[in-house]
Amino acid sequence: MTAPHVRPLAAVMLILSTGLIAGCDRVSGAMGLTGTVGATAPQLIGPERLRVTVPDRGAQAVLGPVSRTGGVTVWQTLDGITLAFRDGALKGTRGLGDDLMSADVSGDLAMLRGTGPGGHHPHIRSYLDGENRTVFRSYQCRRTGTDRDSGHDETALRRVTMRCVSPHDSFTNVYWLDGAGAVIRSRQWVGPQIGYMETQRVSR
Amino acid sequence: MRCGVERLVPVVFAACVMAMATPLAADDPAIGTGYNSYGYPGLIDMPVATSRPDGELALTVSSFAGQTRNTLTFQALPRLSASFRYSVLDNMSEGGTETLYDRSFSLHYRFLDEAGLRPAMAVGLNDFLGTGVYASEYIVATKTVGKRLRFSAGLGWGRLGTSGGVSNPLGVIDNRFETRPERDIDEGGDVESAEWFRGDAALFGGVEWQATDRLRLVAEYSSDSNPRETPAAFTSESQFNIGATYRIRPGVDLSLRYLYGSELGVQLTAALNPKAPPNGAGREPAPPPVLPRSAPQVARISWPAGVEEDPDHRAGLADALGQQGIRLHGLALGGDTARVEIENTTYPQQAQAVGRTARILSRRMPPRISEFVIIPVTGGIPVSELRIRRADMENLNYDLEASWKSFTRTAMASPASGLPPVAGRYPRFDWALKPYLSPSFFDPDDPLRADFGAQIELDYEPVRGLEFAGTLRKRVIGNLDESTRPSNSELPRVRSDFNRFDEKGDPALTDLTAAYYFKPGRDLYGRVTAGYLERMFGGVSSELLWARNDSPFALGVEVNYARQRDFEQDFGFQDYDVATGHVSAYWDMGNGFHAQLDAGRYLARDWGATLTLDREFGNGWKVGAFATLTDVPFDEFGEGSFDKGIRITIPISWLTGEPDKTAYTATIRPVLRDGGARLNVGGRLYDRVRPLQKPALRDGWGRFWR
Repeated sequence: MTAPHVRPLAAVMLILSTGLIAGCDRVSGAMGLTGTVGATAPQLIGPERLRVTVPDRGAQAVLGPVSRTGGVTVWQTLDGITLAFRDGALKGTRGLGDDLMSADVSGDLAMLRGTGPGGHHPHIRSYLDGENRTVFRSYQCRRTGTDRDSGHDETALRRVTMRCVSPHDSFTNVYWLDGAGAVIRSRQWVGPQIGYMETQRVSR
Repeated sequence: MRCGVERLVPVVFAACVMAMATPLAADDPAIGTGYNSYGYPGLIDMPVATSRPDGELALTVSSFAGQTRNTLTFQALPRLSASFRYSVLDNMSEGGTETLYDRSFSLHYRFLDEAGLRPAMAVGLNDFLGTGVYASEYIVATKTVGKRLRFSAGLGWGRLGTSGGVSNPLGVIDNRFETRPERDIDEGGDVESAEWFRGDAALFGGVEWQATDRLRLVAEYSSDSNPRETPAAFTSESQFNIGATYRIRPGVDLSLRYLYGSELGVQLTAALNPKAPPNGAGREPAPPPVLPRSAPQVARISWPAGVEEDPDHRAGLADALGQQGIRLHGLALGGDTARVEIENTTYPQQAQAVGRTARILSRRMPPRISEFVIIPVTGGIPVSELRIRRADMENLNYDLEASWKSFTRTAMASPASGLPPVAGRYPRFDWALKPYLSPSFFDPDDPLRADFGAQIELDYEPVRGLEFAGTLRKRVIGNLDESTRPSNSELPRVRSDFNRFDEKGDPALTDLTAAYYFKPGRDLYGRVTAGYLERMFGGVSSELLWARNDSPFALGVEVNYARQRDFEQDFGFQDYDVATGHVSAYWDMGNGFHAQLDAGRYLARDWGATLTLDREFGNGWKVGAFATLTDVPFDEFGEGSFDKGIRITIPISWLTGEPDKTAYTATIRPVLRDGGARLNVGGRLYDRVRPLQKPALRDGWGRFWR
């Protein structure tokens, strides 16, 4: 079930690393799908790049921005995967299989900015079940740690850890913020089937 | 939903079981409910009161002392399960030395849940149709003690009251209960309600111990003396049975038993739940991202076909939709509105095709367009129109409640007439070469036969609404032609000569038709089909359907003239002809349950009605049952007394996770006879229209944003 995602993402990584992202080449047969539906070629709207790893699937890719609406930026790979972030917090995924349909990250962002009420804040996300019905998962989240992580790059980043629990499951997200409060790195929960996703801004 | 190869269920079922990777719903306590040797929830031969998870479909094969029972059980409701069983019985006292083949149905209904000190309780009927080899009824209570131990005890009647039977306690109510009338088994198939809970009753019981997560040990005291099996098949030394069930993998159990102090038994159970697709919510490339009208210039410039080069947007739009598996049928830009007719050739859920179309429109339409009207089309007929505001596409995209918000903000109606088709849509020619598998069940000479071969399908649409279609089959390997049992039917042999069609029809022109689809009114749909309608009949079929876009009810009328085709399935006809037709009422009962009542004249010129009940899962699985009663008396109908059966539809997308509208449908009848036989014409309107209407769009709207 998980295997088909691995190879194509790796292939995309290879192609991206050779600098083809600005082109519109498509990776045919991506995802090991039989291809009734084609992947949309990314049409980039900015120079930023995001390196994303899904450790549970051994998958990695570099994404470019393709759309910005109301504070949400959509990033896309060549092989038909899009990820949406609001100020660095994961809002949704498409093309990963058991996608995160949507997440309310307003509480998380307030926590990161330090403007939240402190203590616990709610975090709600939605998925599709096996019968195409929207199911909501509701979590209570709180900041469990903040420290300086000077092990990376030239400048020290502030590392914020957020733990979210529900009666069914729990997850721990980690965000690395720069001096301006922008999320530079992160480790965020996608869902029970996909696990965590690691993101890192790529400077070019 | 198109139906591919018919009657493919065992293979696809096996494939499904193999494909199952997700554990079944674990709403049971630590002790799982097992299937007994008759394939319904139980111990070894005895029942229990608990049920399996809702929706589960299980195939059990059990064997002991020459008694092999193959049972398909469906947990149709959380409390109700229904089973169909095909037993191969050696050395039965009636059968002499011959093998007896027996078909039977069972129902198990849990009417009380376990709570506190109160046990769960269930009631059940076995073999209430058919010849009654297994006819029995029971009431059973089940109580869990601790985390790993569960006790069951109950009272059985009929076969379950044959050992240690006492005078029926229901005799207190009425002494008629004390004697069980003999079953009139002329042709089988009657509902023998006069027998139920009559005659001697006996106590049974047992205990289950969940030794480990995978191993369950069972001991029971059986109230079944096996009256027909002893002493011909085996000698019963004891009424105590013991067994062990090992879970090989989720959904697959192997059981070993020691039965009646003298025999070893074995059982394999393979279960799957349509609610849990092996690929979860499905896998397909991400949809094209929505582009807001305020998108930076860079994105606009990089649009593949610039607005300037494609002034009417048609070619670019058709390409972009085509890449998503959607066909552009009509397009009109007027004022601030874009009207777009689409044909969904790919997605099981129409809502997903609509969502992807709206995304593409947001990327390609000039900024002055602020509203998209998307019109799903089938057979050239526009079925519904969905009015979607462009701003909602831009703003709701990643809204937490995007699904219901966008659904409620989408105005849906039934369009009166269509747009002129876009250039390049007609004429269209399509062909496909596919494998087919055609099994045949329950022939006493050989209970499972099959043909495998290749078929070529042709499809030509010269203008809107007109479809020419044909299928030519060539067998590669198979043994359907070995069936030599001649029909003994007293009715016109409209179906019971099926083996002669199998024998002589190679190659076979299974159908060759011209069909015209039209929309005479806002909520009316029409069809006229002429030609070789199905493999046994040709003629003319006409249909009119009234189906409001947002109504759970629909009504249809179908009138046909049909003539029996030559067994060779070439262009010739036989002498028999018939005027046949039905009035059909359709009811979407909600929660995935659908009922259909067809009343009219059948192929053998008999008059009657068919009731069909289906449970449809949100991912396209359907499990249903049907029964037809006509004015043909049961003894004239022959074996089985009346036409009945079950049908199962398995969408390919459930197996692969990828969008695909193909589905395999299998219809399983205990016997195929001539009474209550309906013409099997393709392209019936309700099946074509309903997936495009509001209730189906609502149920699939979760995929709008996928």
